[in-house]
Amino acid sequence: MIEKILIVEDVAQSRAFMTAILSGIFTDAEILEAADMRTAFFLCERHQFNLALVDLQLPDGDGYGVLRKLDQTQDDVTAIVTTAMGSDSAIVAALSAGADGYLLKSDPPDLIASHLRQIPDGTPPLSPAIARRVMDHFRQTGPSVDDNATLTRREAEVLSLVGRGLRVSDVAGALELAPSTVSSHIKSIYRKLNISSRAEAAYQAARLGLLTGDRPR
Amino acid sequence: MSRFLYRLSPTAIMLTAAMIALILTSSAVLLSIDRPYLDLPQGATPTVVGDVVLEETDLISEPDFLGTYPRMTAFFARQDLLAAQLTKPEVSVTYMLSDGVTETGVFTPRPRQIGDLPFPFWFQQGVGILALLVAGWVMSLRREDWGARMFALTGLFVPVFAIAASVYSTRQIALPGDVFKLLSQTNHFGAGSFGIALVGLFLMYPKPLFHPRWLLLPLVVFGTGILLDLMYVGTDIWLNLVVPTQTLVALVLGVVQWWRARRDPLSRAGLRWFFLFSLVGVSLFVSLSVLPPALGIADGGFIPQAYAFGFFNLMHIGLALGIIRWRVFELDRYAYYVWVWLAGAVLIFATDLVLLLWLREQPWASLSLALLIGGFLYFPLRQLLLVRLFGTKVPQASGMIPEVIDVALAPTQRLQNERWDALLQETFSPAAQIEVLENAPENVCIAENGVALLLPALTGVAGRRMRYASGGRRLFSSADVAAAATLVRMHGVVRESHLAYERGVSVERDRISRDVHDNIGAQLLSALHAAEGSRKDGLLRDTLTDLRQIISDGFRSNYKLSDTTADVRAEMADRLEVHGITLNWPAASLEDLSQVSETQVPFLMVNTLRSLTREITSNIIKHASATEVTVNLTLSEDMLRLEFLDNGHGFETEDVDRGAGLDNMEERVRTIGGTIQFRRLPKGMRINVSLPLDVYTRSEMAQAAM
Repeated sequence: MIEKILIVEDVAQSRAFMTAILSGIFTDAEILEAADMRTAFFLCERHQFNLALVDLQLPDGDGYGVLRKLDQTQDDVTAIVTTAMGSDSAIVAALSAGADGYLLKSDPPDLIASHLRQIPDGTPPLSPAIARRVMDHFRQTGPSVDDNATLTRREAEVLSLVGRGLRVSDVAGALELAPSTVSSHIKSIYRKLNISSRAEAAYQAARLGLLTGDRPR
Repeated sequence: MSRFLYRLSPTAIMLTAAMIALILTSSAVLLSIDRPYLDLPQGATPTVVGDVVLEETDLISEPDFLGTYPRMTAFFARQDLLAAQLTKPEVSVTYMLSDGVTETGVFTPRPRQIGDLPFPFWFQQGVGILALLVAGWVMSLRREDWGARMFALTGLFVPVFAIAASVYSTRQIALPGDVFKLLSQTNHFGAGSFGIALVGLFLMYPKPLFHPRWLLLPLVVFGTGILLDLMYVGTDIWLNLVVPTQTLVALVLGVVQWWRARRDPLSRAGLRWFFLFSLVGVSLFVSLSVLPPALGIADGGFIPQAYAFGFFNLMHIGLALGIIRWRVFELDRYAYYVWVWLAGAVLIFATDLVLLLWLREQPWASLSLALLIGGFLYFPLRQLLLVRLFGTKVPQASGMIPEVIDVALAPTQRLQNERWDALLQETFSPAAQIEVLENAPENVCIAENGVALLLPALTGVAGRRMRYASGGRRLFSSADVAAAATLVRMHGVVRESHLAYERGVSVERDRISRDVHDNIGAQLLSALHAAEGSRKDGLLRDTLTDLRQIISDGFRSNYKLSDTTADVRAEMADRLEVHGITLNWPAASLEDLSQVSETQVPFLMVNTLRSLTREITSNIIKHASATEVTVNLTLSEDMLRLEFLDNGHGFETEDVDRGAGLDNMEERVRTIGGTIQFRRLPKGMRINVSLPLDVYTRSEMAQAAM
């Protein structure tokens, strides 16, 4: 049950836009808004949120700082990074840094709403481009010493199919699995991305602008 | 002589000077000791020795004071007579003590020991050694410079006259006449030659007044004077004419040099310093020691000649100070390292000597122990010190790759220069400050017979001159040329590839700005002029997506077609699903695509494909009332074909408001040379799109047309 939502977004119109969509979906929830990192920190100290939408670019810092603050102060929050122009690598870095999902603000509103609606079910969105980037991430970090941070064969298959444009239901059909099983694989991928030992490094690298676009061809 | 010097490193020349000093002083000591010596009381002046009553002049320290050759010859004869008296087993000597009391005693002459040599003897050795070492020092560092060469010559002749004089001036009573005459002639030769070198010095320093061949003139003129002097021609001592003349000529030349240096303040400041010390030193000697007896003012010099020789060292002290303060001879502080090195070398050999003497004293039992200690402790330590002092590392360019890259990629020219100097310093350890060379050679080359190495100019860095390899311990060799050439070449390669990279970056930048102009700009303009609100939103959204893609993919020029279709398919399916419409885009066609997944398409194609699909999807959602959409995708060698089928109610193209987006779609497809067809079916709508795979941007086409 989503009762309290935090929106961290510096562009006022975007904030209003997101608030409108959210209040349409989670009709009973209380929505608190922050225009910068300082305000977000202040609110995190005083409230417990169920859902937080965090913009990656903030005037006094970046979304990663807010993600860390949420991790320190909140017991059970679904943290979603939102971005209009953020690169795929920045998004993957945010996912590695503990975000539970992401939204592209440039998507059509119906699409954004449908993604948000899926949050209580726990199926995080995963676009083909992000899936490919995540694959690259795991390929680059190589075999991890921590088995918890290595993808299983199944998870790798799911990721690869999503990367080729298949949706959860298509993947389920192609692999002869239940859609819920595919969803749980995707959630597991997110978790592993988060605990992947090199995730921190990748996040630092993205922050420093080292992880730019070039994918290995 | 000079050929030989050229093959010696600065420190080797310095060591040679030290060896000459050692030989000269040893000769003086060997000539002085073992002669008959009487243990007279302190302060006693002999008046009668054996059968000979002493004359006043018999005890003078310098026979030159006698003024004429006949008197000198007579003096040498009397010395012979006296020396003969001293060879007897017992000699009776009458002497006067300092309080005026006269006593007579019988003495047994014994061989003179080193300890019997008086202080003035050692003082004169010191004067000679100091002059010689300073000469070696300047010669080792500035062997090409005529002024420095002349200065070195003055330093070479100081010990010749001072050490010769030290033997006879500190004799106890007498030397055999022939020995005395030879030493006196050596002294004359040294003094006269010193004067020639002094005249030469001021002819050449700081700027040569004439071509160096004119140095022959003073050599011949004064050389003749010296020759006449050595042969005792005439009566009056020639040297007493030669030396003051030389001093006067040197003074005049000094004034001329001073006048010529009036436009060069630094040179003049150094000159003043050096002149002051040299001319004051020489003039003091001449006026206090040579002139008084020569002019007949006094019987001897105003101060003992032994100490008067010390005035010559003023020149050397002045030079040492001048180098620190004014870079006399263009030498700098680094020149002092040579002294540190010499001190180290001397210390090691002195330790060897002390150890050797000590070992001689040891009884057999402790001798073996001493040898053991020496073998295990002293010799390894000594070897280590020697290697550190004399050993030189062979320059290696191969280990310097990171440093070369640092030089080549330095962000500023100043930093590039600094890093290049640091790299050269580390590789070759030149003693002198590395100099910037304006007229640098094309290739690395050795100059000044191995003293210097010249480096060509690099991109952004001027040429360089390095002097005195490995702190002056060796000369530059072909190994250095090879190492330096490798550094230069490596720098060139890094620099070249960096430039190529930068050119690539600039090409990329052009392409990006074209992409932004052609796509983002055009789309924003369309959005601005679009009438309908929702179309405006759609166009803006497309633009944002394109921008994000450009940022996300790092401005690539090509995209994998399969990635693009994957993204388009997922987005279309997501959007249709929200409105309860099923997308039937067979995965099989995706598989087909993956066979040619290596197909690369330009950004414009990605952008067209996505905005077309978005537009079609939006139209279906808004107007078609469809429940199912089918997409078929086929790829031929040069064409991508897409078929969109829906089961809605369809439309006739002429019934649709053209502003709603059909025009826009047609325009976009036409831009990249493709076609789009709309056909109403009995149930629904079919849209066929054909897009060529080789897409040129408009700017590229415009450029090609030009």
